Amino acid sequence: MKTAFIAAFLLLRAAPASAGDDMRHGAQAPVASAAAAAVDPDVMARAAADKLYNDSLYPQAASAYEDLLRSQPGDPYLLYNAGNAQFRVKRPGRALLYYARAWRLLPRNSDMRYNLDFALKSTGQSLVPEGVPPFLHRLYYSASDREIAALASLAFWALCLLGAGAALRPALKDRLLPAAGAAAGLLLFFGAWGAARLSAPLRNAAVVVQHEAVLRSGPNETFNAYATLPEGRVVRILDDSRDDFWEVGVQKEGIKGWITRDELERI
Amino acid sequence: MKLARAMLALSLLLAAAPVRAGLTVAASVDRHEVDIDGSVRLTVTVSGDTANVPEPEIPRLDAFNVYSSGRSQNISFINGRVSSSVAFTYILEPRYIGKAVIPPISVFTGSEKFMTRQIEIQVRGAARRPQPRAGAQQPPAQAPQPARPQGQRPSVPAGEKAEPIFITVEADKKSAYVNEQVTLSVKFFTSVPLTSNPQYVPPSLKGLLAEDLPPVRSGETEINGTRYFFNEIKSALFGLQDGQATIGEAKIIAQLQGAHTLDPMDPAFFQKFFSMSMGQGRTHEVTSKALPLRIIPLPEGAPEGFNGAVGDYIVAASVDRKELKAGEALTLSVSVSGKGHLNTITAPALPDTRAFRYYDTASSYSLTKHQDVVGGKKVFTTVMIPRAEGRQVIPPVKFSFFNPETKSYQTAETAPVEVNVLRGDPSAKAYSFVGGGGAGGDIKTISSDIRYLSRRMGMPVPSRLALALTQNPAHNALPLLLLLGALAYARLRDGLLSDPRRLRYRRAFAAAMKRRDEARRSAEAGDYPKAVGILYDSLPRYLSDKTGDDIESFTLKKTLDHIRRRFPGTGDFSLGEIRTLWEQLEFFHFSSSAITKENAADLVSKYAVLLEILEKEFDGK
Repeated sequence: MKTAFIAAFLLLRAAPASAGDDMRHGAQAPVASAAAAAVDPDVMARAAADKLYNDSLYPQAASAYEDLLRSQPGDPYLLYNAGNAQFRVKRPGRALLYYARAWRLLPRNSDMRYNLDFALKSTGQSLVPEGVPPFLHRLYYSASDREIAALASLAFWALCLLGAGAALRPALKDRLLPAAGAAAGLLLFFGAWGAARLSAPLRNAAVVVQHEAVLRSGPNETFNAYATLPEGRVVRILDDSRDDFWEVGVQKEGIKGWITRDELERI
Repeated sequence: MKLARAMLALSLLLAAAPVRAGLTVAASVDRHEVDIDGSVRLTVTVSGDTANVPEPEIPRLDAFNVYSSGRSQNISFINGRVSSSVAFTYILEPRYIGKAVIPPISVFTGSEKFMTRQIEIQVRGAARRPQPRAGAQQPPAQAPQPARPQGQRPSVPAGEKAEPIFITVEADKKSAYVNEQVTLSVKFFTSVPLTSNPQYVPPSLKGLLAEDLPPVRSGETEINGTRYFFNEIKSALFGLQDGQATIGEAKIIAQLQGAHTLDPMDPAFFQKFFSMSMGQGRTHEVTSKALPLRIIPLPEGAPEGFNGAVGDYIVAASVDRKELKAGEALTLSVSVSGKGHLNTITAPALPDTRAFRYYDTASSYSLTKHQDVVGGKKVFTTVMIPRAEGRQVIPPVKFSFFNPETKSYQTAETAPVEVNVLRGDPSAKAYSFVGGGGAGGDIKTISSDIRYLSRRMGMPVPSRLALALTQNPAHNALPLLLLLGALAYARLRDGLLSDPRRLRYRRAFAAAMKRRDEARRSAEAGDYPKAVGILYDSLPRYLSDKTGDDIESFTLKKTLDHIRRRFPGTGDFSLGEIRTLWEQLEFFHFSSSAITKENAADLVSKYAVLLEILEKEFDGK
C-alpha cells in the first residue's frame, strides 16, 4: 500500500510541466471587465489585432498577434486567434502550431478543435487517428494535461486524508476506508490517463514552419537529403539535444531523419 | 422574420460545415510526346458542387521541373445549388530523355481523396533547328524576353574569368509596397555540356509569397568572350508585411559530362547538348547569393472600405436575370479584374439597401500571368432576395485599392443594376437554398472555412484551478507525510492494545509516579496516614504492572522471589530496598499513630528513588 502511495506521489511529481509553464503568465492575464478594458494595454492591443483581422488585413493581424504572444504566451484564446491569422496568410505551419498549443490548453473548446482539425486536414493530416471513433477521441481529450494532473492530485490528497482519518479514528474506519478506496481508484484512473497522454500525437511533437523542410540522414548538411516535408507537417521529436538539428520521426510515412532546428517549432 | 432566421441559421451552418461535396478530378496534357527542350502543359480540372474546391496535390516529379501557370474558375448558383469548376494549369519541363510518368494527382477534401489517372509522356531528344553563327549577335532561343531593367547580361565583372557554370538572381525592384509584385529572375548559365536538364531548387522566401511565371526561357549569350547557354526562370513575389524581406539562395543541381567537352559553337551543339543521357557525368551544384528586398508600408490616407488590395483593378457587376418574382432569388456577381495579387482580395462591401436582402457570398478567381504580370479576375457571387415588388436598383459597389504605379489610392465602382420584381405567387413556398426545393431537405454544404476569432482572454476557471493545484507538485508531500504519521501512530497504538500486559508494563512507572505525587500532596496537607496508605497500595500495584502478576496477594518473600525470577538482572540492593520499604509501609500502615511528618516525607522520597532504580533495572533485563 505504502509503495503504491510513493509511486503515485512520484508520478505526480513527474507530471508534465511544459503546458503549465506556458500557462503561468496566462493565469495572471486580465479578466476582461469594462473598467479594466479601458486602461489595460493588453486588452487594447488585442482589440486592435482583432480589428486588423476583421478588416482582412491578415498579415498585419498575424504580426500583431505575434507581438501579443510574446507577453502572453499562455493565453489559449490569443493562440487561437494567432492561428487564424496565420491560416489566412497561408502559413499552415504556424497556424497549426498555434492551434495545437491552444487546443492542448483547452481541449474541450469546440472552435479550437475544429480549426486544428481543419488545418491538419488541409495539410493532409488528421486530428482523429484513422479507425478511432470521433466521440472516443473527444472523450479522451475531454481534459487538458494539467487538468488531469490536478484531478490526480486531488484524488491523492483525498486518499491520504481519508487514510489518515481512518488510521487516527478507528471508530470511523468502516466509513472512511471505502471512500479512501474510491479515491485510490480515481488516482489510478487519472494517473493512467495522464501516463497514456504522454504518448499522444501532439505531445513531444513539432511542426514544420518553413516552406519545406529537408529530412537528412544525419545531423549536418553533408548527410544525404532523402525527403522533404511540406510546411505544416507534424513530426515527433526523437532527439532535441542538439542546437542545430533535431532528429524527428514522421509517423505517417514511417521514416525518421534530421531536420534543421530553424525549420521546426515545438508544439 | 421566420424566413430570415432560417436563412441566417442556414448560412451559419453552411459556413461551419466541413467539405463533403462530391468532386470529380481529371488531368490532361496538351501532348504526350515532347522534345527535351520543350514543355508540356498539364491541366488538372476539379469540379464539384461546392464553391471552394481544394487544390490538387502535385506529387514529386523527378522527370520534370514543375511550374504553376495559373488557374481558372467558374462558379454558378442555380436555385441555391452551387457548382464550380477550377482548372489548374502547370508547365512541366522535362529533365531526361525517355519515358516519363506523371503519377496520379490527388485532391483531398478533408475527408475523401480523389485521384486522377497516371499519364505517360515520351521525352525525345532536341529537335534540330537553325543554329546561330559564331560571332553573330544572338537572338533569344525561344520566346522574346520581356524588358528588364538590369539588361540581359549577367553581372560578371569585366576582365574576370567567369565560371563554366553559374547562377544569377535578380529582382526588378529593390523595394516594393506590401502586396506589390516583384519579378524575380533566376538565370542559370553554362558553357559546358550537361547530361540532362538541371534540377532547380527555388530560393527560400522570408516575408514573401511567390507565384511561378512559366515558361522557362532559354537562349545564348556571350560573357567575356565565352559563349553561354542559359535558362531563365521567373517568379512573381509579393511582400506580406512591411519590413525587410529576404530572397534566399537558389540552387541548380546539374549533371556535367565527364571528361568530354562540348563546343557551344558546334553546329550540332543542341543535339549533343540534349542527347546526353543520365549517369554519364558528375553532379555539380551552384548556388546564388541571398537577395534583400525592402517592403514598404502602404501610405496613410486609405479610403473607406479599403481592404489591402494592391494593383490596378476594374470592377463590374451583373445579375443572372433582370426580371424575377417576389420571393425568388437573384444572383449578383461582382467581378474585380486587373493586375495584382488577386488571392488576397476580399469581397467588396455590398451597398446598404432596403430593397434587397443579402445571403451567402462565394468567390472564385482565375489567375493569369500574361507578360510576367500576375493578375486575373475574382468574382464574388452573392444570393439576394428582393424585399419589395417593382423596379429595384442595386446601387454601385465600390472597391478601393492602392495602385503602386501611380502611388495613390483609387476607388472603382460598378454601374447600378436595375431589376424588375414582379408580384410573387402567394401560394408559392419561400425560396429555399436546400436541394429538392422543399422544406425538410438536407442542408447542402457549399464551402468550409476555419471558425471565427475568439473574443475571450486569459484562461477559464477550470484551467486556473488546475494551474493552482499543480503549480508546485511538492505540495503533494504534505498529505503523504500526514498519512505516514497517522499510520505510524496507529501501528504503535494497535500494537499496545493487542498486548495488555505490555501496555501495563509501559504505563506502570507513570502510574506509580502519579500515585507518589498524590501521596506527597497528602503528606504536605498533613494527612500522613492517607499518604502512607497510598504508597502502601502503590508499591504492589507497580510491581504487579511490571511483572504482569497479582503481587498484591503475594507475601513479601514470594514477591521478591518472583521479581528475581522475572527480572534476573535485578540487584540485591534493589531487592533489599524493596524489602525495607515494603516493611516500613506495612508497619506505618498498621500503626498510623506513629507516623510523623518526617516519616511520611521520607517514605515518599524513598519510594520515588526506588521506582527510578527499578525502572532502569527492569528495562535492562
